[in-house]
Amino acid sequence: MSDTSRPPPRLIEQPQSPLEFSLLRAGIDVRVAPATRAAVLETLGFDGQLSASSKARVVTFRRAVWLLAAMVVSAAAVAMPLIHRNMPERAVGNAGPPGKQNSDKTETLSASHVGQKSALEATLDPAAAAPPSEPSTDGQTAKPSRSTDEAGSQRSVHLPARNALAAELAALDVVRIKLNAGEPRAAQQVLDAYQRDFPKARLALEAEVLRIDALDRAGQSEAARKRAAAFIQAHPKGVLTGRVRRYLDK
Amino acid sequence: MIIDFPAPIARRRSPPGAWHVRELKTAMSLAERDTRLRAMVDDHLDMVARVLRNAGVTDAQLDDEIQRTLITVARRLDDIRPGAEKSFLIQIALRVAAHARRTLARRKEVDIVDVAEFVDIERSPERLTDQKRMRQLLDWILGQLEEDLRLVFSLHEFEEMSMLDISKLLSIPQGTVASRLRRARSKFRELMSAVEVSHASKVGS
Repeated sequence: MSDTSRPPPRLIEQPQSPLEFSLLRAGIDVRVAPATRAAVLETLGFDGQLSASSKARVVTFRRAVWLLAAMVVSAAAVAMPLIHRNMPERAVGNAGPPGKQNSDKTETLSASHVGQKSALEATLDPAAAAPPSEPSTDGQTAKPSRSTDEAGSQRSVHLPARNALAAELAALDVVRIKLNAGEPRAAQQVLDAYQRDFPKARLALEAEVLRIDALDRAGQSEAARKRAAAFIQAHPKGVLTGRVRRYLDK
Repeated sequence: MIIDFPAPIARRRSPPGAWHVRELKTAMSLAERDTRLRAMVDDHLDMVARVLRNAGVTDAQLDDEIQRTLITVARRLDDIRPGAEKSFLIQIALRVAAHARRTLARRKEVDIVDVAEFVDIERSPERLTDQKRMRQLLDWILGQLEEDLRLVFSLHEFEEMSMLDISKLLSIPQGTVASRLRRARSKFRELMSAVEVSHASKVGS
């Protein structure tokens, strides 16, 4: 069994003639042409065209990335009001009775998350801000934080396609917080950033209404009224037009 | 939608946050499969072509049979034991080559080539280094070997496989491998000598 224990040298290592060497060399030198290699890769779905599994992987990872983005945006939407927790106190002081400042602190936060309409009411029309504020003034201080959580959790389950909208909502929430905190210039800066970040914003009209409010609060009434008039002219039958008109008629 | 997701991921109700974990696992699994298949192509495609060619696949058939081999391997990727990729590829290539030879035989497309044709080719010395001509002559010589002998000869001489590895691959005793290799070499040199003698006589005439 010496044959099996010790492998014999290959013929090409000890060729009997140049012809034998060339023949064995021909048997070894088989190379796949680049075109054939490319065709094989394409057939298997590599390179230019993704394979079925690659496509699934890309779609799956895309979903995961979207989910992660949604979670980040949601976390930001929830965390932002908490960061500015102290600011609404001054805003409530302007909008409501001084004695209700402490209990209204979180309520203003919740108002900014309850919905776009109520938040706009809170910023544009102090009288309209009263209804969402009333329940918490009755001592239900636990509710606002719950509503904030609910708003956050609702956003966290947004589908990826709606993440941009969630981000827009979060940004406008910050604007409202700034306005309620009596920082109209800061609100305008956030609006500037919002317009930069969302050139094709879906909430552009709401942003414009907030801009009018911010200008008015910053003492730029003339600019605010011009923008309000332009808004009404551009959107005579818009959902937000009534509020802007009431602002002009004020 | 490019591709449907597996039903359990898309349809099953799951606790919040759980679905994406499963999707990531699935994605990793798919990515691993792709990585493995791609590595096999990158590392062993030349070997697949060589095994096919030396096992009797003609030059005209080669591209198709390479594709067939890799497609088969891709379908059976989960059956391949880690570390056994090369031997699996060889096994599949040998089966594909056997099928291609049978197909070719049925079509009766095999050219009946006489050794004298190659001798004519080798009249000029520079032809000796012509790989294409050498390949044709090698094809003729290998074609003269019995199938069992040709297989062992090719795996040892061209794929540098040890007799132990060949015995495992073909599931035959090492002694049988050694015996076949000995007979194959003897036959190979006999045929090559016939070519050389014919060549010498034609050149001398």
